[in-house]
Amino acid sequence: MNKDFIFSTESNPTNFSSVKDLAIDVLFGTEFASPAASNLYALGITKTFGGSNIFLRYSPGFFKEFSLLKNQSIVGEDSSDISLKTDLKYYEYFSAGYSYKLNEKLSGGFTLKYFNEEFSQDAVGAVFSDTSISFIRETETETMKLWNIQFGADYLFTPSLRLSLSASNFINMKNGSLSETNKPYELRTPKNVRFALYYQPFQTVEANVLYETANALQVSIGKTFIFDKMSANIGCNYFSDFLLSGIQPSLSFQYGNICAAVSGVVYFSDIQKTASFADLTANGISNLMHNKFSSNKALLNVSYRLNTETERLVQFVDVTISNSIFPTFTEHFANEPFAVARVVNLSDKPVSVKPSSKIDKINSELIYSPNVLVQPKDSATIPFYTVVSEDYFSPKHEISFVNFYVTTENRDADDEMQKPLLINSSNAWDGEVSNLRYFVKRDFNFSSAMAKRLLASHKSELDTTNSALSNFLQAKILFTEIITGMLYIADPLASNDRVQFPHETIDVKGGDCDDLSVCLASLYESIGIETAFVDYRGNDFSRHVHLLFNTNLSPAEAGLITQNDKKYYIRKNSLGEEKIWIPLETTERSNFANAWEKGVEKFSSEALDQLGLIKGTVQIIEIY
Amino acid sequence: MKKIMIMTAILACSLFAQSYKIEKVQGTVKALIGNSEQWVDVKEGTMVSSSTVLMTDKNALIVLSGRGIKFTLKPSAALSVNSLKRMTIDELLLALAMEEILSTPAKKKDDKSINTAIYGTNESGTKTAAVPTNLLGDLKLNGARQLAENGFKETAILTAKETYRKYPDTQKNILTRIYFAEQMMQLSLFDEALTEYSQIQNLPLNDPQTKEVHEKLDFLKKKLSGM
Repeated sequence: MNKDFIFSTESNPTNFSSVKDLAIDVLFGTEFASPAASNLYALGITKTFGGSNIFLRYSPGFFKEFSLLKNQSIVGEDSSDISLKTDLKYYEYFSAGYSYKLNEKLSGGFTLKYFNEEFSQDAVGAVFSDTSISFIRETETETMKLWNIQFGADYLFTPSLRLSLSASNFINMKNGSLSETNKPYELRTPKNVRFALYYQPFQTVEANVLYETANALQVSIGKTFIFDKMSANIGCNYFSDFLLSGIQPSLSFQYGNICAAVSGVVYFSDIQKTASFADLTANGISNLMHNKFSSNKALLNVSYRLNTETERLVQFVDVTISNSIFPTFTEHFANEPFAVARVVNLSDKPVSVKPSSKIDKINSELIYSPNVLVQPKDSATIPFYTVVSEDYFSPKHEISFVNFYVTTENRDADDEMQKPLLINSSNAWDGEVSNLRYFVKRDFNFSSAMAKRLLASHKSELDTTNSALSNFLQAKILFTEIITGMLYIADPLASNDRVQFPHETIDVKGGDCDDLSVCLASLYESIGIETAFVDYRGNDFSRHVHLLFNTNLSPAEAGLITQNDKKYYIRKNSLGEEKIWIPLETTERSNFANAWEKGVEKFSSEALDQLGLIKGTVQIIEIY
Repeated sequence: MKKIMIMTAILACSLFAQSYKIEKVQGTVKALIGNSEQWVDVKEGTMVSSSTVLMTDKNALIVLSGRGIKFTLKPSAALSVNSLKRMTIDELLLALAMEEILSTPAKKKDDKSINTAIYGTNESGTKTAAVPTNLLGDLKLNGARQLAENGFKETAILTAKETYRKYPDTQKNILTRIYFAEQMMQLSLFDEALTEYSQIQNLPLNDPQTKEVHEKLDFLKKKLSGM
């Protein structure tokens, strides 16, 4: 901020701006001359439109006036001496700037300044009358208007290192002419190239170095202190043009949209309080605010930044769909992300990103995923989760699309992206046995009604049986009623990617191993019999699944169902109670006893004898 | 008689899959073959597969051989022929770990209400076991002990652990449990032995047993802590 108001480089030649939307600045100044003069120095406004920025400044306080006495005087009517003088007035009334950000690193722009120079020379004029001649003071005024153009570019090597290169006085437009008398006092406009480097070694420290070919140098350093709701900055500039040098210490505070800065300009070199014709003729004036006739100053700058537009704090780098949607896996994607996004934090503060998504035809509202904190100027991987409505059903695959959103503190999303997404049919299965549980659950109402209806027809048998055998007997009845007599039907596509819902298996009276296991598990679970899938993975990538169910018998009650202790397995429940579980090979559809024996043979051989449970080739998957 | 003949025929038909020959049978020896529910008599000269369980009555014994092993199962014991095999310590540890995986409790809360459709204490459907289950458990532990005495310590430990699970009453057999805990120590299975002795100390021990168990626990704790 300091460098924008003082020095031969007081302007911002490239009109580089960090204002996101709109900013209004007011600058007051007091010059410690005799007498002290306080002024409204400048009033500025800057507005950003996309990549463009426009700057306008009205600067009534940017002027310099000299009043020099000539060595001539005339005698007035009252016999007093009237001195003749020369008035030199320089004004910078306003300036305007424009810049355009070509990309994230490079921007270019220009500044146009309007100066007005007014030179008044007193002279002695003779007035003749019939009897006498008298001399009067006459004032001749000449004006010159000057349009000064500065232009340049800024390049961000990194977010913390910026190089600015600009040129001034290569293009000037003048309007008016000066006599030979006033010509020496004209505002000097030497061609000048300016190099500036802005560096931020730490988040709260900045250092700048600036050099101009017109022999000027500036070095500044600043430190920002961030508090809960406000920040403070302390800084100091040293400047020199090898004739004149000084410092400009500053202190600023920012609270919300308001920033106030107090700074002072203290010159080390001798300052000339008065100017002479010889001085002005020799060196002239090239900067209205900083010249060898300037006085120490105090400046107060108040800035208000209005943000009417949403400031984008984060944006997507990319979104990768990691899984197509299996609509029957209703809660699966609440734990397993279906997509992963790379998001970058554009701001200079940590940002908590709230991701959300909405899949067309699947979600009726936004589904939010867990927040992720992204460090300043850093990127992070954000997983997207979703849930599928249990009401959704589609018999075929279809292509849909998903809208991804990242939201921060703003009400609206900072960024959004749309991607196509494959929604599999409701019967689709990814081959993971653990996901068969969703097919078990889906038809629970149907299975419960079916199981109860079938068991009701065996009421007398159930009523006269030892209650400890309840689970076992019900399981046996349901197997006999439903599975016995069914056909083994392979998937229509000769693949393992389709699973029938229980009602479908019962309707078509058949299915493959996963269809039959799902159907039986659904019937069992619907009446409170715990089940587990046993997943067999062959070396040739073949898969097989059958069922284990909990008889709810204790080991001591094993004799109620078998004399052979190889036909059951002991498993603990969550209370630590040991219960007897038995396997059922659901593809063995002849009768319950054979299904049990086949299940025992396969499980004992592959899960136990061949250590399949240890090697991972066999896995027990609880359905709930 | 006809039934026995049929079962013998079944036994004979599966000869090709059998690995052990019955060298000698003295007294009453029964076999439970595969997933069968029936115990059948065993005859000399027949072959038995690894899926067979043999059981000797009191005063009975059976000698079987195969795979370079000759084993005598003494009276009042039961043995799975599958146990007659050499295991490394690593294989034993894997087998023990697998049993843990199998018996791992389900993750869900066990808050499911008991089915109320059937209730009561009607015992009319209860089967009568051919061999009382608690007796079979004791016989199996005897068989396991004989395995250990004949150098099959690994399979003996595995058999004992399985028997404890499937026949819970056998867990109260203090002498047998101390015996197999000692076998674990001899195989340097200190973690497993510590777990076993920790459970044994909760049983109603007499004074010498209490002293022995505490000494073993102290030793194992020091051993495992590296002291």
